[in-house]
Amino acid sequence: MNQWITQFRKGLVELCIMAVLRDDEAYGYQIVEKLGSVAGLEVTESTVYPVLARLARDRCVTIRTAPSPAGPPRRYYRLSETGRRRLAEMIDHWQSLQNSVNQLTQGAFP
Amino acid sequence: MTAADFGPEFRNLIDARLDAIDQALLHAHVAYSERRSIVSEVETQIYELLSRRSENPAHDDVVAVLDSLDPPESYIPEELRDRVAGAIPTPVHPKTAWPQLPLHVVRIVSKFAVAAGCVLVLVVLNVVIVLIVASTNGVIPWVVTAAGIAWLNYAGLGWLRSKTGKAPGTIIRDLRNGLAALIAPKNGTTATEP
Repeated sequence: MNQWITQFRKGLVELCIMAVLRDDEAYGYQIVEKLGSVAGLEVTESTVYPVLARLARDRCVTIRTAPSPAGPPRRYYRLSETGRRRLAEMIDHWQSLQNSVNQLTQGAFP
Repeated sequence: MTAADFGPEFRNLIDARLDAIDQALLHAHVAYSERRSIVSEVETQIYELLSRRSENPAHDDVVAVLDSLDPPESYIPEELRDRVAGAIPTPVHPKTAWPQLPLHVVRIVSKFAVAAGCVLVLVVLNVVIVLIVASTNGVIPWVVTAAGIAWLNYAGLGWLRSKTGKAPGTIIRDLRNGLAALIAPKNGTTATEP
């Protein structure tokens, strides 16, 4: 995969993870699978888990532990109020950025 | 299937991978709580993948699941990767002994240095004594002063001879070690003599 594609996606992973958690809680590998199934996104666990740890540190997510049918207990992540506010800001910023880039790429220079 | 259901061989394989990830994160100075969180997620994922492969996973299943994971260093958070890249220790080259100075050069230099130092001290003392006598307007007789100076020079030269004649090896060795330590590179060994 081209390096620029990787760099392009890295900045969006946090937004995507929070978007996955917007409506419902999910455990770590479940998030990896959900993001991995989105065409063009295909992130792996080594990208997702550090971001989840950072979101927990920043109190953007809450964690609930529940037994797993396989192996150690699962950690279910849910967006906190702080997380919801950050997600809203990120979506606003993303849309603004997207509009600006669209203008540039479509030749609509100011 | 639980972690306890695994034999020690499988458990060791999994633990080795988790340890490797933890070490990579530790090397990048990732906080303990984040390290624990990341490693726990990987562990949960491993067991989940194993349970999907088989109810009774075999050695090959464990190896296949571990192979499907990303390499340990890829779990380092993006913002810390630069720090790790800067902290990677440079290869250690074998230490090379600093070439010792030729002994005859050191011997000459050391003798000259010691003699020059002693002579300088004597000259300074002589000047000080003369100045003291001059400033007291001849209260101290010049004869006594001259005798003092003569004794000082006699004793000083005797001391100089004893240092450079009776135990030259010690002075030479000390000077040689000192010079070598001054000019030797810090990552090299200094040229010292026992």
